[in-house]
Amino acid sequence: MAWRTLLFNKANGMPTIRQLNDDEVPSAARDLVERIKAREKRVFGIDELSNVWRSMTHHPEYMHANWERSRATMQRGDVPPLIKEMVSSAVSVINACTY
Amino acid sequence: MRMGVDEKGVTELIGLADHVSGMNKVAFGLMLDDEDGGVAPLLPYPKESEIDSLVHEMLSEVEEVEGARLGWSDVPAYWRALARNRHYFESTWKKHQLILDSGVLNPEAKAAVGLGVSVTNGSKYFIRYFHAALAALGWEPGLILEIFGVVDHYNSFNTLATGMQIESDIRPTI
Repeated sequence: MAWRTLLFNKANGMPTIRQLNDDEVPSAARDLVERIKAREKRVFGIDELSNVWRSMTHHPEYMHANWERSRATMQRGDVPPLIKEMVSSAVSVINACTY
Repeated sequence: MRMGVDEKGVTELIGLADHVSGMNKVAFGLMLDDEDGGVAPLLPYPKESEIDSLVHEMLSEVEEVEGARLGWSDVPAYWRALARNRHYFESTWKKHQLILDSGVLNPEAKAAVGLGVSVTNGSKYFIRYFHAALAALGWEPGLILEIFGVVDHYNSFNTLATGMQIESDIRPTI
């Protein structure tokens, strides 16, 4: 399949690559999935793994690296969490990222 | 993002992003970013005789308000550059004060968001502006670097979400 087809299929409402179901997640990612679910339950009140994290389950090492950066930048430090959430929301607006 | 912020607060946040982003583009277009290197801005600053009397009065207000915000002694170049056009200057300055100096978001949050937007847009002039505002509020380099971490992480995740064309599944209850 051409890269163009892979990357620009939003008109179909489809993600670029298939999202894995919970039972398809590679074993190397399963512990991390549970930890992320616990945080998302606490922060967003949702029970399922959010799609942005689910999209990374194909590549557990990449998922882990992003998880560590997410924790380091959003959950550690002295800047109040609300300010961090506002900055992240504004950045997403500027980047026109509807997710 | 809600975390106790109501609809007016969210509108205020997006208004802040809208306002800062517009100023970022204008500072870039007027080449105010290059002044540090001794390069003149795209348009000359207006002479005294070219400035409307109302704008003169407002420039005194700008000097006072921005001086307190930034710790800078002169009227910021951005406002001097706009002073040639009374209506544009007046409407922009009024919006600037509304966005930055009133509302429910505190000054630290506003300056941090301004910095994040300016970094994302690559506006050197307003990176310095909002860095000065945070420094004037007592933010040490370690705190400011935390904002860069958030900007980095979210520019990264925005790219991932776009590249993967991920369908949104986290929505606030409206």
